[in-house]
Amino acid sequence: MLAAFADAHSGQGLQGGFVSGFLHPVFGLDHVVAMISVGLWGAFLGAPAIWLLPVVFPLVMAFGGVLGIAGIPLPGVEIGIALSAIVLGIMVALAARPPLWIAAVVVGLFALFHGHAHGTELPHAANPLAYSLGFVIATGLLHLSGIAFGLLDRFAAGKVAIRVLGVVIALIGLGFLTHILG
Amino acid sequence: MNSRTGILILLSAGAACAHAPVPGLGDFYNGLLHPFFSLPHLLCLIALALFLGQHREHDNGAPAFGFLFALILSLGLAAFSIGFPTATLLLAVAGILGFLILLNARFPVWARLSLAVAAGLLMGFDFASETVRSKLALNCGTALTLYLCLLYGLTLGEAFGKKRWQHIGMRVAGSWIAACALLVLSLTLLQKKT
Repeated sequence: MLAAFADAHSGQGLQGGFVSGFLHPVFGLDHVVAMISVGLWGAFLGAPAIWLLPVVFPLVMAFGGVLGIAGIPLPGVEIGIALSAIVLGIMVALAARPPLWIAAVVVGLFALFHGHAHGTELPHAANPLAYSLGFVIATGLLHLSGIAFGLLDRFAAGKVAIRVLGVVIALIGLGFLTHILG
Repeated sequence: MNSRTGILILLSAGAACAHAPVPGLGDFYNGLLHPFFSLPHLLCLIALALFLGQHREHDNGAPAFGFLFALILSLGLAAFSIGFPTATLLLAVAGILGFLILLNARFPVWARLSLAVAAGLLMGFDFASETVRSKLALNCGTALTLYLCLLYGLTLGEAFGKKRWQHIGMRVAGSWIAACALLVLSLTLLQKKT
């Protein structure tokens, strides 16, 4: 009745889709630092933010992805992605502890930009489901690495290291915003 | 898009999931491998297993048997050439189950049984639609893999949800499943619409 999208699951299609989806966030430094900072900030804020922020991120990112797939333009996607690293880096560097809902809104807002950037790639993927699985899992693992680093918070030197990493993340974001990086 | 069109799109042909059988393996072993080549089925199966596993304090026997019964029934109907592509619907079910896992929602046994039966029927009808002609050995292999995967996943979910961090891990996995399903569903529906 209605034409379906081609999704023949040959080994190449599945593997190609998954690998390209997995590598897409990993090979983009702007995405990497933003996602690490989400995990870092969550760990720093403690429970329930430590798991709530990494859960909010992929869901809102998926919504942003839907906007990208639908071709609905989101103004300043690249600026939003760079700003995400700056703002989240500053939050970590200043050891900011806002109420949980504010942290979730901030993370969710930036997830929209990241999702939109990924979503525009999805229709071109060899296997869209494998691609989305790859990049959602990669995003989650980047959050996890941020959480793991954030657990150093229990040590005095670890607290300093986390705040220094926050500064580094904010500087990288600034580099992307001013086009010195990327 | 009105609701009637939306329902029509969901019920219409989904992703083409046919793949060539592995030569030399025979029907039964090809059937055993069949589910591993179909991501919508795997995603839905994992979501169902985790969802049932989250209810570890309740009896999951009825939903597990309900799934098996529905699977055998729908694969059996392939003998009469009854089967239709349900990959899109499977993704929708996976997405709903992902959200329920994320919310840690608790459901009575009849609701879990209904979801398991619906998932079993959808998986069976989809595989039945792929089979060019009904092959009993192929369908037996497919049913066996799907049921064993459900039992393994369910047992893993029950065992894995005892500690707090494990419980959180399952909810995070639910959010990943829901996010993937939302993305691919929207892609499918939007591409069909255009």
